[in-house]
Amino acid sequence: MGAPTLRSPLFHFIARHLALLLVLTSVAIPLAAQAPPASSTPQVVVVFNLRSNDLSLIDHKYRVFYNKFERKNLPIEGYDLRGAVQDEVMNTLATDKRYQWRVATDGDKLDPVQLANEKLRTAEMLSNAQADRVLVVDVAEFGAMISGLAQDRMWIAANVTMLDRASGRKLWKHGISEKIPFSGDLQKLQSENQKELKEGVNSLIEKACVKLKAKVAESKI
Amino acid sequence: MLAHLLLIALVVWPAALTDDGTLRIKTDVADVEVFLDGNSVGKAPLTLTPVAAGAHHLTLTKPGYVDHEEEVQVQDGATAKKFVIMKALPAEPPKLPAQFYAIHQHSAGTACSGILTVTAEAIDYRSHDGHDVFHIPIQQVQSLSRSMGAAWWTSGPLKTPSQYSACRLEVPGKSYGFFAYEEDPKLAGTPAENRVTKQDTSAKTKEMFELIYRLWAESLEQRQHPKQAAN
Repeated sequence: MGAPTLRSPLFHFIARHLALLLVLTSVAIPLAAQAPPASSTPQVVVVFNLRSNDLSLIDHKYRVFYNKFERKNLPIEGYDLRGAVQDEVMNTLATDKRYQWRVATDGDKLDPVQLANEKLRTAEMLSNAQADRVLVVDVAEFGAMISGLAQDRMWIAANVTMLDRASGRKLWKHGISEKIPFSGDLQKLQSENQKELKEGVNSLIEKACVKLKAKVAESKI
Repeated sequence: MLAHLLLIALVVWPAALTDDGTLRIKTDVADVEVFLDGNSVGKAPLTLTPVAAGAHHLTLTKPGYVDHEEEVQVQDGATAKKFVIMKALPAEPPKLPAQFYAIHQHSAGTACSGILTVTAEAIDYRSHDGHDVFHIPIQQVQSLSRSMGAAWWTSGPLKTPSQYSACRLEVPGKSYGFFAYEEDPKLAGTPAENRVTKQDTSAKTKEMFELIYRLWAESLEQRQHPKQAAN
């Protein structure tokens, strides 16, 4: 019988952890190998259609026997509305890892105006898109209502449609609308660099994108 | 159990050492260069991550606009959002008075053509036949908007109503609708609708609208902030 080997408590501690690491590694490597490759994630090309760069202002004037509505188009001076919508939407979509998202390029040859119109849309229009799906973001209106009786508000209305590139089939469609309370001082809308108006539009876009995220998450791939 | 806890601590420890957050920067205009603590980090809109938690100096620049500078606070694990409205440098003042050939729409569905003169103080219109004359001080303007709508005539070069834009102006108790056009000297004396071309109408009306809009916005600014405007 030989003399017992003397090992310090530190040796036991390190040995135990090395063994644990070996076990964990042996489990993790096969699991990682089974993970789907990145290329199997469906690719989605996103196309944007902004019907107008102007704000639709509805002036609601109360009369005793009738209500009078007037619609005006107010330009939002210097605001890169398309860029703002595109950036916020793409940031939102990037959080959904079930897809790989990218903005449509000229090479995809996608006409946003025709794709946004169900009556004009055909499968051939998607034939050049380098993706598995096409997401059409159709911003129908940015608006504000100024009223003497109700609270003034701003709103955004958009339709988001997911199309299958190969068949042209509509996979799902969601209408997204959001509104925020608004100080309806018409003069403030058009002076002071339109600060209040632009901040309102930015809030609306952010709010609508929160809803977009929820809608996309609940939709099937 | 203890070994597991130690292992988790070993993995988590390095991450816990760094206090990072995210900074999202947006601007109203495009192509704004962003500097964070003096270093160029790209063009807005952009999302910067990781950004060390704490105070940072943010500078936004774009030719033709006033530099925007501010201190931003980034908190550990949180996203700080900034939406900045860039202030344009004063543009070259427009040449005044400016004159436009204009069509004035009447509420009864008729119209007349004449000369519309824009000065810093007022908008004056006088029809060619001299029957329709109006003077609108810019300070009295309540609302100014542009609209797309049907022309009052149903034949001639402006038959497609969706292609035509008009300028709408409201003063207390009254509103005016008009658009500008390029006069063809060869067609002088013929009815107004024959002297108008679709393309010229849109371009000229836009030019007129932008001029009046600018003068009106300046007058609003002066009324709301008389001291700032004077400076």
